[in-house]
Amino acid sequence: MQFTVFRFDPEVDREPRYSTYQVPVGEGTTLLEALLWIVDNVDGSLSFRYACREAICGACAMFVNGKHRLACKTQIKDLRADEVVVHPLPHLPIIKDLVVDMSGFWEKYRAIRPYLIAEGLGERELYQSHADRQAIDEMLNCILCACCYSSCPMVWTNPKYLGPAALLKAYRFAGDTRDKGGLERLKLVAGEDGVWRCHTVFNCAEACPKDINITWSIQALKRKLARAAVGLRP
Amino acid sequence: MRTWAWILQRASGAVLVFALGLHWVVQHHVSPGAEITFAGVHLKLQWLLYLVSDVLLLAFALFHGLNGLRTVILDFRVSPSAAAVLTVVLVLVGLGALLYGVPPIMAFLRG
Ligand code: SF4
Ligand code: SF4
Ligand code: FES
Repeated sequence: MQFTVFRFDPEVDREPRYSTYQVPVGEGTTLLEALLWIVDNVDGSLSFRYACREAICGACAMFVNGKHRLACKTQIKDLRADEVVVHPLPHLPIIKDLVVDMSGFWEKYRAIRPYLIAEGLGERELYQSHADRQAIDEMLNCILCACCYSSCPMVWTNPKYLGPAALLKAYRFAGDTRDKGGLERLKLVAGEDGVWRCHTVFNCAEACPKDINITWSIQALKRKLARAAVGLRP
Repeated sequence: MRTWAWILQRASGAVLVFALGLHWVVQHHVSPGAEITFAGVHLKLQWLLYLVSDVLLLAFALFHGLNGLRTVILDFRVSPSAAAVLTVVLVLVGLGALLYGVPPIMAFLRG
């Protein structure tokens, strides 16, 4: 099968280019395996990120045949295509080939304080009922792959916008009954660069390889903020 | 402030749906002087329900439109100070348009 892969090495190339490879593909071959085959057998200079190989680390996100995908979770047969075209995550600065600069993504992630704010941590059990835990089940599936972030038109036009992943994580804690971040945490997403920039385009939800409805969480944060503004319990 | 802009955008949207319905019913179905003659318009523009529904429509359409425009502009890289200037300009545009639009609706109130 023919693979066309986006290439760019800032130390050598003045412009991006494409390399094509013929890769043997069998039943169940994943895109990650195909890329590793290229590195092992044809071209050791091809760069991409991966770690877990089982869709839990979020490192191998890329743009494949026009869609955001995890390389390790994508079986070539499922693409139902004669050719596989691989790009890095769109709209992020490229470091080399399929490796993008994620520093902006992590900066915004840190900005929402992505950890439990609670008293007595480690001293006693913080009880959470099964139902309360279920309410944030979906948000907990996020693997921080940045597919959503790279697909969001508001991130493209406004680089300061916190973006879907950070906001999803903010809701993951704002909706956690053990979290005592309360209004303090909500304030972190209430600014011009927070939830209000989201226009419910749903690109993020479509791009998410974990099928998370990120937009729902962002809307839930808006509802919480609106309730707090009119004096109701968020 | 941003939270209120969002709440009021929704609230003004709801009012607009109501005001638009009212405007339509008042304008086309129950208004006296439905005939388009000077006397007909004269009669209509003295009718309180007509005046209220149209001023409502004007005021809320202006707010909804300009607040929406502000959101669209802020979607692009806009510094906080530029955003503040933008807000002031849009409030002035809104008030100006309201002051410009209300007198003609009230033109026949004074006889
Ligand atoms: S929400 Fe989905 S697309 Fe976004 S970072 Fe998490 S797993 Fe990736
Ligand atoms: S729903 Fe919101 S966060 Fe998701 S892509 Fe659209 S604007 Fe971005
Ligand atoms: S390698 Fe970890 S998600 Fe693909």
